[in-house]
Amino acid sequence: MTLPKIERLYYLVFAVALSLSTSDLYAQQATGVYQDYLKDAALTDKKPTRIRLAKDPRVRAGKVGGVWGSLGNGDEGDSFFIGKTPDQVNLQITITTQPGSSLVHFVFRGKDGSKVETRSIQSVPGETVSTWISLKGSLTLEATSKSDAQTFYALYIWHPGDLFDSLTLDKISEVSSGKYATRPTLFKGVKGDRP
Amino acid sequence: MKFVTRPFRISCVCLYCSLFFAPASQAGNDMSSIFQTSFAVMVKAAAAIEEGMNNLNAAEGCAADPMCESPGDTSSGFETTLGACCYENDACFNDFNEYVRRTDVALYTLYKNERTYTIFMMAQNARIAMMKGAASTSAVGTAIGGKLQADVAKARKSYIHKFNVTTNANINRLNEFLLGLDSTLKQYCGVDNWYQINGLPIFIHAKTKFPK
Repeated sequence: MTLPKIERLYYLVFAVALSLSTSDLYAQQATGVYQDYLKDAALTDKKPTRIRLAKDPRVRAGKVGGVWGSLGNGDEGDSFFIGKTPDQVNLQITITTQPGSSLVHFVFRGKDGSKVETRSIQSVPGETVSTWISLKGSLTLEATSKSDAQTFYALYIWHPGDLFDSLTLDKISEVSSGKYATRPTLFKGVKGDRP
Repeated sequence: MKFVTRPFRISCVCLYCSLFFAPASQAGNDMSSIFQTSFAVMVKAAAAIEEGMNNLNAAEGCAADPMCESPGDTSSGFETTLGACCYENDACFNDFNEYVRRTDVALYTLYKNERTYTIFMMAQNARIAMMKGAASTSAVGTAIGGKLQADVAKARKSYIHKFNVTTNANINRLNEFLLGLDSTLKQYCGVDNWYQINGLPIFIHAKTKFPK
């Protein structure tokens, strides 16, 4: 059975629209990112939702994970378990919120035996905030907002691995600021009289 | 089904499309502005930081090697002289610079990997020391600690093997570039001992320093 030309064209358009739409949905997937805006992670759960850091082909060193979160509209906060580490780890935290959104307050906790250390980061509406934290033990994260207006946030945790764990946060800050952006020259030719 | 005309069917398809995809694409647009863009920003920043880290490791690897970093000298790394003969000949000048660039990249890779190896081993040693400390507290701990230590030792052996395979391949590449530099100077300037005087010492140094 052969369809008339015009009908084939319309079906073709429909097929293209379908494939574009689904490819867009797939493109939104990022490795190790918990989609809290689809399935809310509660703030008060005894066992917080786990964010599993994973290898992502787009990030060569270490592992990444994160949250695509939603707060407000009755959702007072989200709570997550990141993992346990016996060693001090250096993690890069990157947070993005919409322009004009409410402030979101993030608290990272590292519980090592009876010792608890916290690191707090606050979102800047419409901007990407990036910082490094150093923690050890059982690592958790809480995201809260004082406003009930709906706010979306994206939070990424990058653990680059041993190479970065061996550095101080000051040294990492130097690397992040671009101090070592230029490759060192280890072999050069200098003009002289004799080769 | 005569009443199901072509325009009607087409309208149905369009209506279905608009009903099904409009809310999804609107939500998708909202999300993509925050989520997808932010992920791309994070990936780009991570790549830049990783590049910076590689540069730092190569520089520190060189600084830890007296043959690479001259004490009190502000410039680091190895160097070779470009003579007037080659400087004034475009073909020689270009070949010379290309081999210098390749040699530079080969040394950068070797020193970067060397530093990575040192840090990896330091981390592994610290873990073994910590495990020994924890395991010594009980008999069960000793048994578990022994198994973990054996696993770490196995991982180390595998890492060293892979490191050596890669390093030896990189050293051979380095030697190819040094020989290329030698043949360039031989071809254009009649210099027949550049490799013996300048290239071979670098190759021997690399061969004795980097593989474990």
